[in-house]
This record gives sequence, C-alpha cells and structure tokens, in this order.
Amino acid sequence: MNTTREGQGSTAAPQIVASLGLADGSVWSLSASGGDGARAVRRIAEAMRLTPAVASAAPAAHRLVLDDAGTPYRVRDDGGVGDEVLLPRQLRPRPLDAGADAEDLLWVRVNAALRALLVLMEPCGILLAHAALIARDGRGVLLAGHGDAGKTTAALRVGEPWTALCDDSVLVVPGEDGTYWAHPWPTWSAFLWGGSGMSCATETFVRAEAVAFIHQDEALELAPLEPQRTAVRLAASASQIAVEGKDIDDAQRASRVHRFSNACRFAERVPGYTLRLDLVGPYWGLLDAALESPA
Amino acid sequence: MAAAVTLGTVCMASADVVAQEIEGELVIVPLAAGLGDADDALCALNASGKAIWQRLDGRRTLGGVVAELGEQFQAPRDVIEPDVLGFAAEMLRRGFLVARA
Repeated sequence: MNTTREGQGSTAAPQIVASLGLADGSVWSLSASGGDGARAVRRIAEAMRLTPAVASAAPAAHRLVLDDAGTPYRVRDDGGVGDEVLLPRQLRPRPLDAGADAEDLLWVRVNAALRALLVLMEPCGILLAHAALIARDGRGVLLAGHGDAGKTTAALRVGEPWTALCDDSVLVVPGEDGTYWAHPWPTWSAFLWGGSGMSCATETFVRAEAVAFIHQDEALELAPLEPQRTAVRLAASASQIAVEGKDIDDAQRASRVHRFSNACRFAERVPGYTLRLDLVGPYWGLLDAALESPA
Repeated sequence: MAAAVTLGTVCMASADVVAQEIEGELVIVPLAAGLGDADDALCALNASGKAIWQRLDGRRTLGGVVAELGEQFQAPRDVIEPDVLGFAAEMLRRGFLVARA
C-alpha cells in the first residue's frame, strides 16, 4: 500500500492517494482532496501501514475518489469522476452527521470507503471474510466465526511457530492455478470511541490453506466440512461485516451474489473445517496435522 | 394456506435466492434474509434435483417438466411425477420457488 500527495495542476487541490497492491498483482486505490474524504483515506493509510510513493498505478476500474463528505465515486477511463458507488444507507453521509462525534463519523467514512472498494473488488473474485488469520511458514489458516466466536482470543494465544496476522477480517484473493491468498485486514471496530485501533501490514500475504469455523467448546476437535457448507458459512461471515440491513437494494443484492459466488469458488479450492476449541488447549496442533494431510 | 401443487402449476426461482454450483451440487441460499440464516437449512441439490430446478423457469408446467425428464432419463412417468411434485412443494414451502399465477 502506498500513499502520496499529488497535485492535479496548479488550480486543483492536492490529493491524498492510497494504493493497495494485492498478491495477484492487482493495484487498487482511494483518493480524496479534503474534508472527511481525505481524513478517511489518511486513516486507512495509517491502519494499513502504507509506504509513500509517487503515484497510484491502479487502473481506472480499480480506483475510487472520495468527495469532501466522504461519498465514494468510481473513476472513469479518462480519469474523471464517474458514478457514485451506492452503499447501504447506514454508510451514506446524512445531514445529521454534522452533529456527530468526529471519531465516530470518521469510522463510518472509513467503513464506507472500504465497502465501496470491496464493491469494485468483488467481481474479481475477492472476498473479505470475517476471520482472524494465523500463519506459519507462509501458510495461512482463516479462523472464521461470528462476532463473539472467539477469533481474537484464538488468534492472540496461538503458539509458535504460528503467528497471528490479524484478528477480525481477512481479504481473500484468488491467484493463478486455484491458489488463494490471504491478506490481513485492520480491525476497524478497535478504532471506535477513540480507540487506537489494530493496524496491520495489509499488503503482506500468505497462502490460504484452510478455513476453520471456530466454536467454543470444552474439547479440542477439528472436523472436515463439506465445501457446500464451507461456502455458505464463508459467505455468511462476509455478510456479517458488510454493514447491511435486512432490506437490501439491487446494488447490495448484486454484492451478495458476488460474495456467495466468490465463497463458492474459494470453498472448491480451500478445505474447510469446524474447529471446536477451549480457552487453553493448543488448537494449532490440529491445524498442523490438517495442513500436512488435508481432508 | 398454500395452493396445491399440481401438474399444471408453473414455478420459477424466487428473486430472493441465489444458486451456485459447488462440486456438482447446486447450493441454494436466501439473499434477502441474510446468508447467515441459511446454514442450518442448507439446500444442496444433487443431479436429479438440479435437473428439476433448472427447468422451473416460469414457463414450463410441472407436467411439462415431468415429460421432459421422463424422456431424458428414460424413466416411467409414475416414478418421476411424485419426485417433481414433491420437490416443487418443498421448494415452494421454503420460499426458494414462487408459483406463477
């Protein structure tokens, strides 16, 4: 991920640009000139540990521009501002926002910008899973589950040689030959209410070798899951963090179809498991065994 | 009370579901209710179910589907008919299909 300020001629306001490079070689970028949009881009850049660069190399189809209110727009092939990316109403700027707490508002703008970026990514097979990511020797396992499933606890107590790369969300990117790559994603909820957040180097990645849906239990157990059930659960996990209500419009419906399709393609290639774990047992030993002889 | 399913019934996939093929099975989940609600009642259709589902296009009657499948699979009508009617009734009950008036 790279950030830079670049002028647009002598009369244009300077922009802040954040570009994200993914494992498949694709580059995606967000830019803004001021106001809430620029603050959101800056916060995203910090949380994803960006390195300054001269300019974004993202093609127009992979670029978003945020206006001063933080509303995201596509970029046309000629570089001009295109159509607004339609988001769930919870993420759209509203007149009442003027009286909102600045940090809370920024959090909403950050979520809106990232949600819009995912709208661009989803047709390319990319999926944001609600999961922690642990890895050893470049081999990653997603620990997926609901908000109270214990993802953070499981990730933070993982033993060597495993390490935790993030504890809430993972960007899953299809590569060549059926390979899937996993990028750690910042824990945005940790930025709420003045929190300092949990940042991570989002451009780093590991090979996604398994997804385990975790459940708190008194015993340790790892059981294979059919690809069909893996896909449904993975899509469900992605929907949990998409900030959507039950009344969805056509744009959100299209997004859900993409998410389910992407989850299906992932589940055909990457084995899924149910992982029952307690608060003390070395669950990662089960994952070691599974990676050596996948189901 | 739901209308009876007959050979004259015409069905089509609900706009509130999405279907994707995974390893030879067609998985159907609701969209509007949230994909997370689908896990416990996962609907994965095998080859037979898929053959029926793919013909429920809002134009064919269930009787037409029975005739087509009988011809394709060289199976007697009295074997296929209960399968098609039962399948349609169950999918209608779950909201995965809608009947065209």
